[in-house]
Amino acid sequence: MPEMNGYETVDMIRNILGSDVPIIAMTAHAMAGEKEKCLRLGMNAYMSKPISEELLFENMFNLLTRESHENAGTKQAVTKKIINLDFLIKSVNNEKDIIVELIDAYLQQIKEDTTEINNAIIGKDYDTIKKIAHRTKSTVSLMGGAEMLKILEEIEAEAISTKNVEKIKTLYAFLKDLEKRSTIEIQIERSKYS
Amino acid sequence: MGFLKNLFKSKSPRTGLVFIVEDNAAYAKMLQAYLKTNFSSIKEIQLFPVGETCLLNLHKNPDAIIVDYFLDTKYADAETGLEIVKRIRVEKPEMNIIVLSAQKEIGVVMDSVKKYNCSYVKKDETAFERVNEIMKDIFSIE
Repeated sequence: MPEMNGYETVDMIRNILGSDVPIIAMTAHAMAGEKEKCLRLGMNAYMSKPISEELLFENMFNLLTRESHENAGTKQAVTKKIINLDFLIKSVNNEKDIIVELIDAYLQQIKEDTTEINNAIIGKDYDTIKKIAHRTKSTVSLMGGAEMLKILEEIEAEAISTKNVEKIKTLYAFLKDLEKRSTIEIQIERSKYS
Repeated sequence: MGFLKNLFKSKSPRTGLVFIVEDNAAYAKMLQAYLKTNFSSIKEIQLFPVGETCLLNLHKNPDAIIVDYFLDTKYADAETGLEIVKRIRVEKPEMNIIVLSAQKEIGVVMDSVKKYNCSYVKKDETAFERVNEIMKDIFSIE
């Protein structure tokens, strides 16, 4: 992959982000020892190209059921929701038109916020990263985006203190992923009101 | 909340107009929708993403102005919320001003808003309710 290879990515996910999200290695390298290397680095399964659909689904099924089983009762489920519209809905007395209008305002704002953070990261403009991350906290809190809020707080703190752009980039990648998922979730919610 | 009544004692007639000065458009819209839904005394709520445009509209005599503490993410040269508050105070010493902030360290914010006789609301999950309470106080004064 450009910029960061799979090994580095896994290292970041496991050791910097501290996430145990299931990872399936996918590679064209059919060299001996490759599978062992992937698993040693913390990946959960290994597949060499060409990818067999059946094997992929089997791997996914095994990993996802394992995950939800391990997490049952203690940790969050894999499909934990990223947003929670209870607050928004209550705030406007469940008025459908207003809910749709506010959802649209969120979708536009979060896009603007993340783009501006990304631009500031590219320019290593820590002051702007700090400001926009701060502003974005209000945006996501409206939609009950607790996880996104936590990452934004980290980005803001990193921009103020350590100014470690690589760490901020990693956090941003995480944020961007949540933002994409929140957008899908929220559009499903929106369809219930329009 | 008794002190607020003294603080906001004002003889000018109510206009039913409220300004929200906030550079986060989604947040501003949400607060606007919340106040419209929950507060019938408010007839109109105008949004200003940049503080300077709010200053140009002070002659409309809003009953209250809600200002975000930072407010400088839209344009690099835009003034911060605190600077806007200072300028509002110069032109309208009696104005009801509510400062909003997502700041974690609220000490700095508190010191500055106290200096300019503002109410302060932290942007958390109860923020809208507290703005609503302050609005009730403002609108209950004859």
